[in-house]
Amino acid sequence: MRLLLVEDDEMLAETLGQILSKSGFAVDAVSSVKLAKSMGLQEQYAIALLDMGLPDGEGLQALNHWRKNDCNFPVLILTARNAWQQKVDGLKAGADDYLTKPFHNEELLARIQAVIRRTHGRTQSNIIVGDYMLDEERQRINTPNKEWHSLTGTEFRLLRCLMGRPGQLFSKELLIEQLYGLNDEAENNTIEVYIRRLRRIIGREAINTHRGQGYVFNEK
Amino acid sequence: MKNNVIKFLSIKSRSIKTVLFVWLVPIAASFMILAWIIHGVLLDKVTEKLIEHQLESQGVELERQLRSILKQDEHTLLLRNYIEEHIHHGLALKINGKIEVSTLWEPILKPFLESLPVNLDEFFYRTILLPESKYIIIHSKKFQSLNDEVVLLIAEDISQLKASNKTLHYWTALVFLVLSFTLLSLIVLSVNIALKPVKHLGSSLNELKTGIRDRLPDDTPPEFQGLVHQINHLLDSLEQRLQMSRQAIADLSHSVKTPVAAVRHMLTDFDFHLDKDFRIRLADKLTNIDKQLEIEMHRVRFGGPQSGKIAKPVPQARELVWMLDRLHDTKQFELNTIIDEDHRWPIEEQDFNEIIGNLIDNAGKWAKHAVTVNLSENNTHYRILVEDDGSGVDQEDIDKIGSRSVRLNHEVTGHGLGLSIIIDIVDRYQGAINFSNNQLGGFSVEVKLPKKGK
Repeated sequence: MRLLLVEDDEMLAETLGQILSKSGFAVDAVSSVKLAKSMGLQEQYAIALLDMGLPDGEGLQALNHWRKNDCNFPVLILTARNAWQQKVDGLKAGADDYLTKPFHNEELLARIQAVIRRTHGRTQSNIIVGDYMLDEERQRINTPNKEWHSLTGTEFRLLRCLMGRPGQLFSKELLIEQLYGLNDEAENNTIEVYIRRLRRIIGREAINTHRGQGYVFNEK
Repeated sequence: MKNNVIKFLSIKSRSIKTVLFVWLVPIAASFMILAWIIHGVLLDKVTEKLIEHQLESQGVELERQLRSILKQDEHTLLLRNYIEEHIHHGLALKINGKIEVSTLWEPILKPFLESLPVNLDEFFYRTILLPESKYIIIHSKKFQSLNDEVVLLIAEDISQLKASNKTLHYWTALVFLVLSFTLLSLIVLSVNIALKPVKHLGSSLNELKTGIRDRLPDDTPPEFQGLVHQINHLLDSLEQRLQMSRQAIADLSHSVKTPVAAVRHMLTDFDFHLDKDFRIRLADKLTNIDKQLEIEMHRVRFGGPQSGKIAKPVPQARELVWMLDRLHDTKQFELNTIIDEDHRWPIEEQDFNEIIGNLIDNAGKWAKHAVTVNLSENNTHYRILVEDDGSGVDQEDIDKIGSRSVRLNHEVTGHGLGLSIIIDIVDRYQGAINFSNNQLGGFSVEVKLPKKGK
């Protein structure tokens, strides 16, 4: 399996290269954003290990470049910065996991395997209704202003249900059944709360309320 | 020009003293002028009322006397004499259409009496006669005596009285002027006294700038207490921050330099054989250095209350929940809240991320299938509750993690650095953290941060 290692610390790159080679990966090591961008587009990698702080820019720039050009190989971020927002930003940009430096070799190998396993056979599947695009794989939605918004599990399932059949009326009971199954108990106003939250994220006009009957995702 | 007008009208950017003077001086002056004008009007009114009252009494007396004269047989001459004898007032009579008037008043009262409508009973009439500007008040009275219908007019010239009033009114203007000056001086004095604390505060701020003092004095008027409190709080937290970062650097240098020196010695001593045991010790030393670095970095990163950008709890929690949901393939992470998307909590943005991130991260490690994050608030507290459906924690361990001795330097076994970080942040916000086992058999952590002033 081919692996792209983007790391500017020579010593770390060298030792990681050796360890990864021993574990059966064919390693291409680069140390700049510029090289990472082009290598990512040229080769079919099983996974990329991406350092965040590179001499000519942020690792995220390379990641954004790959994703923009439909390179969907899994990416594991290696970072020395341990702030939550940076981790969120990495995942929102399309990374699949992060690992904070320093790390044990065993942990790195386990994470690589886990990410490859998790993303194996991953296909890009989107539900598109009008100017809205629901990214099922990354559990997020693109709104008409071209912004991506991450969704929690329930928000995503509710939206998938509504966007799956735009224009169709879904009663509150039906939505509760779809979201919670038969065993879970949902509170009476749960659906209203989630619809309100979704409207705040994707805009008021996307979901219409039919008083006393239910909700409809606007087809237009 | 337009900008200057706007600037002048904008109260926000003008000195308090100017605003007070701009408002108080014209208001006080207008009030004094108004009071003087009202004084003049009232003086005139009172004089006229007094004269009217006198004329009315005269009327009653005259009516009585006229009735007795009219009872006599040959009363025409008597009436003529009676009218001429009244030199203080002008008198005019109309008895059955025949008019008798005092000689002096004839040019005024005769035409007036002739033009009088018949149906009028009793009234007062004021008129100014030109060109002498005579001010006259006429009282008219009608009565029946035997078979005679009598209309009586009594007139008084009050021009003299009016002139005296005018003189008095001008003299009062002088009094009002003196009073106005006294009032204005008192306003200036009051404004200066009232603004003394501002001056005092200004000089205290100067002293603060030059380093003579390190806090602002607390003995300020209530209007400034909030501001002074905020500034002092800011100064305290700056001082605290400076001390903390100095302490962090000192601790770091103490705990890192020695092991770094040891490692370097070992690596540069080429006669020294690096066996397996030694490599492990070397790696352990580096791990410890890293841990120290991590602790101190966290300590410096904490914002604390009233610093940095404040948190938007719902979007921030959503992103972290979304991220951990993506990282854990088989576990579901959910956010429950009715708080509005744009609502803010006065907790520093990164501090909130640290609390939520570490709580969910820990819960994710222990959960079997699900982690839920609940955000809520009441009148006194902001509340974060994170629950997992794992196997929970022994009561003994719960007591241990809850104890106050657990701080950043004391890692909680099995909970990593995360829980210690949370405890440290919660402490800084004077909040409380509760640990318990929940109904699902898993572990619950509840963080309650007090609302300001509660």
